[in-house]
Amino acid sequence: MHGIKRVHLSAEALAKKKEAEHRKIQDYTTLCTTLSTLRTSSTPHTSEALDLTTTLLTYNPEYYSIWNYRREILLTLFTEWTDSKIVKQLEKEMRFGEGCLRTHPKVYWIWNHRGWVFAQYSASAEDAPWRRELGLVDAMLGLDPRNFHGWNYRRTVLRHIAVAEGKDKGPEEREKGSRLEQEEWAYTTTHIQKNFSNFSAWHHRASLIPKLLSRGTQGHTSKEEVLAKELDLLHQAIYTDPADSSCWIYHQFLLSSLTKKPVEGDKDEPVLTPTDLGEKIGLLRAEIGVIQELSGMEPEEKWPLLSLVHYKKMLAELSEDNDDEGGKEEVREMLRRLKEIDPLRRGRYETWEKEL
Amino acid sequence: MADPKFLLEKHVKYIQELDTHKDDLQYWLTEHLRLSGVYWGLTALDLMGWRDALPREEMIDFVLGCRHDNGGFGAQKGHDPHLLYTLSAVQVLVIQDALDRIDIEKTVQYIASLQLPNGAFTGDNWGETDARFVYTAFNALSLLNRLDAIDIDASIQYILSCHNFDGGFGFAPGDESHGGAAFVCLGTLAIAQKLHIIVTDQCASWLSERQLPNGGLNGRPEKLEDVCYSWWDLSSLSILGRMDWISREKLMEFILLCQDPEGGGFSDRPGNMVDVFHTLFGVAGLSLLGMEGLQEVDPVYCMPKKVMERVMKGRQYS
Repeated sequence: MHGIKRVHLSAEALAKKKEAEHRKIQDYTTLCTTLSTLRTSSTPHTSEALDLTTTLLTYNPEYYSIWNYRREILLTLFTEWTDSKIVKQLEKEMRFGEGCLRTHPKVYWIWNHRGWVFAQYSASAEDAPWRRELGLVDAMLGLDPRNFHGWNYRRTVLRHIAVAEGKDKGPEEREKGSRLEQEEWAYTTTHIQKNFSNFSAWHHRASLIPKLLSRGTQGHTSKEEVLAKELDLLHQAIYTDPADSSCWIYHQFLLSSLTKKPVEGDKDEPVLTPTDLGEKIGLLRAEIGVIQELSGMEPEEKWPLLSLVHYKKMLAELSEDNDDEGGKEEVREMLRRLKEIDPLRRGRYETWEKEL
Repeated sequence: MADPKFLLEKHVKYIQELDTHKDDLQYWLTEHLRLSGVYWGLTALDLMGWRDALPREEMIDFVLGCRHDNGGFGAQKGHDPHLLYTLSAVQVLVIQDALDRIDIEKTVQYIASLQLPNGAFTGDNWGETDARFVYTAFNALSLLNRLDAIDIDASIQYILSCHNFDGGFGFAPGDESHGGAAFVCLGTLAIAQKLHIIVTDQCASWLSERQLPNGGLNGRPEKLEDVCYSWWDLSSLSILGRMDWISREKLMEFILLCQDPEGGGFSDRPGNMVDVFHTLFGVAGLSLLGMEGLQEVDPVYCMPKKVMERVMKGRQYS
């Protein structure tokens, strides 16, 4: 149970509660027994049984065995039904699922059933309405922009759209695919601008970069322009709320490609940052400059200092200047300050001091 | 402020009375996780030194009643088999030293049958796939000494594909980093003795950022603290040897504030409703933090260390 206030009832109130629940318990347990008897009977897969599972699951969508039973019923009925009747039922399943999700947005079993429903489309002649699903996910993420079930499902939906629409590899399909990625990029921008703290949106954005880059920017924007815009957005974010970790983590991710060593066997993944060493050092120095300025204005904020420690180490690595005592002393001083302003993580800073 | 006391007797009583609330609607609405509830309650009791507070034979009978012909276990008698409840069954039987009451080979085959070619595991034959189920399989098979029944390397590859740019882990490839995912991924790596293949300090750094000013831990950036992350995040840090990267005192303070001083048990955060899930993770977290009066807990298996020593019998494990 999460987020439910603790209440200690008086003996009288407790008695009243038990009385009110007594009937509900009877109804519920009777329904459970009816369904389990039906499931082991000689005719377990009827429309009546289906309706009973609807009632039970509406009340308790966490009863996973009943979702299983429902699917068993559907699979049997589907062998008897026409394609159009099956598709109508799949539509019903999705609407039913939406209802369950509104009251129980984080229950794995509901999301899982939805995935199963969509998988049934491939058995029928019709295409699964993946584009429409994006609409559902939009609605769910509108209600809770940090619901990771929603974001995960969104990525599943996007993958399916890419497959469904990419079957014909002509220029029109490529254009469609590129438009989809631009739309996703814009979608994450909207979420981020509503709330810089939404790490789920930043995470999703990070996953779009390789696709955006490998598709090629098709003459609209160069990767340098994309990077510049990205850094602009991040500077906005860190100045607006320097205490928010999300943008700092994303910033570190962007710059991590400066020193990322290619893994043997891994195909070369395009990155936003420059490949020329001089340009890399220039970029890193520029970012360090921006953060140093912010840190000067907000000396009590830990994230600017944390990032500076991280980037100074990166700079030393890039310029192959690992014995620079001046640089090391700067980092030592920052770690001393971090121990004061972020005492919870003293132990971590002490480890880093020893490693210098 | 002095730490509130650890209310051991209240928690033991709370757990003992869990099965008496048949006039509570919540009792019936949670039947679908009862077997895991038994594991949570039993493990908490064992860590408090009160394993026998619940009758052993009755408990074993209950577990056996959840068994299916295919070797899998459901949450409750008549509920469908699933990896989650199969692990809980194995854990309960291991703690009660009653593994001889089941056909181990059948259960091993059930678990192994759920592995996919890419190394992931589905929870059951309906196909839900993520890293939780990989950990579940590894934990159970390791306890049963039958890790040889699956393709370990494939699963490790799957777990590695859940490793994110920020050092954390998601529940599936491409998923956002989450404290619970860190636990299952690191736990799996630890059981396979493959922790060395990741950059552990970046992960530890991500985990240490989970501690909030009130001492509690959250599961993701900018989310609320929750006592269950005192387990998922803390055990992860313990596995990485970096528990000192957070303030243990402040965390202990927070966990103790999550107790219900009247009825016993722990809630997700101070002042909320308690449940046995948060009770286990509160107690296990306190044990890991070294609080006096508690038995030691194994951070990888979330099982009492003494039990692990008995069942692993000198085997190298995690």
